[in-house]
Amino acid sequence: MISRRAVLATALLAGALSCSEATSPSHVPLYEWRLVVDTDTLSFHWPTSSLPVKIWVEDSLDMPAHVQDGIDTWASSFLYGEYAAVLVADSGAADLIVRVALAPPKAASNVGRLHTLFDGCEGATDIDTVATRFQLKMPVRMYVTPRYDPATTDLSECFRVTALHELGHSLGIFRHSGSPDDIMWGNPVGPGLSVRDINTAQALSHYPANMTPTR
Amino acid sequence: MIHALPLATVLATGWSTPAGAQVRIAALMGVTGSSALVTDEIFETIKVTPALAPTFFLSASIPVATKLRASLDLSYGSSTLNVTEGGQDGGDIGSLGAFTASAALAGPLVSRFDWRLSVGLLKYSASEETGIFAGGVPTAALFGAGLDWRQPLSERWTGIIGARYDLHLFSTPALEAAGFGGSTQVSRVGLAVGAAWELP
Repeated sequence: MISRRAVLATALLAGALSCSEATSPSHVPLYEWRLVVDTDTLSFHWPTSSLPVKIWVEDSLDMPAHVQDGIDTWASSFLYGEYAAVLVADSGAADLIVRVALAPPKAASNVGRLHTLFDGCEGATDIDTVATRFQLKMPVRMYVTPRYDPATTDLSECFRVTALHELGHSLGIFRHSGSPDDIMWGNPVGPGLSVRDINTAQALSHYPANMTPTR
Repeated sequence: MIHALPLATVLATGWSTPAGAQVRIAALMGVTGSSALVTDEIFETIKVTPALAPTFFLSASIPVATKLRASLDLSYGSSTLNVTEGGQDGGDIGSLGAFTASAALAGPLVSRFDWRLSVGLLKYSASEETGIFAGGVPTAALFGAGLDWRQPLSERWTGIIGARYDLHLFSTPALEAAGFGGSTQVSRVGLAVGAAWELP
């Protein structure tokens, strides 16, 4: 008797379990992230062997905290370990260098500069594709600059959003989006990542990259 | 959510312990394999699957009727959590432990083979509470079945080769936030060797 009841109970459980079916998300909408140079369309994401990305940040205006916040925000948009980054003390070993300064004149013609303007500060990220165009020169250089005197104006939100935006470029989003709702819009208004930003970051991380990091 | 109520009711109402019931303790060591916890599609199919996990099984049972024993089963196994993309190795995203606690019924099948059916809970523990585990690590209801081959070794000792199968539903808050709908049916299969000892 008990055996029959047990079999019936387990059959009911198995039936209930088998009624379930998971569906994966569509991962759209997203926007174009690739860099087009002449006839070449360049795509980059950090290879697993390069993780965690090593980031050196100039210790000024609380920028290390803003960059760390940006790292955490972008990392939270990934599900499968596609991105991780750590702040390092040695700039010589860094994959990304963040300066609190105006971007200097471009060093070479093969350096693409993505410039962003926020209310209170501005940012820039240099993408050095080297002569081959299919390599990304390390370290990637990123600049965040106050446009007003930080002693008289609270620019912390501006720094946070600009750092988040510029970190998006360092992930491989080598363009600005076409919507002000996105953090990767040219003049971002924040406050955080949009669904399109997240979908784009996930897509570029799984799209075959034709650029490799080099020093 | 699956409820363990039906079998719990059976366990609670369906037996009377015979006088002089002997407690049997069984310990087995083996491996457990699992189907994918997550399947996604971003250009190619992405699967997150635990690697073969060394697993320890512990069981304490008492006879509750002629040819029927009830037991409390525990198991723990841990392995890396692997990602494949388009069938290619995509590395691992830390390790994943799986602890189970189940109530089971078991009895003789044919020859030296015993059957067993169980319901219980499975609790995952992740080394990295990021990515799919960023919002927490789930506990799931578990349905299991098994087959044991028993070889008496002495008056109180019995050698066992056991096969285990269980099924649960997997989802996490991070997956739900990312837009996954429903839960993944996860099947696990274990194979283990050990021994049982009957208390005097």
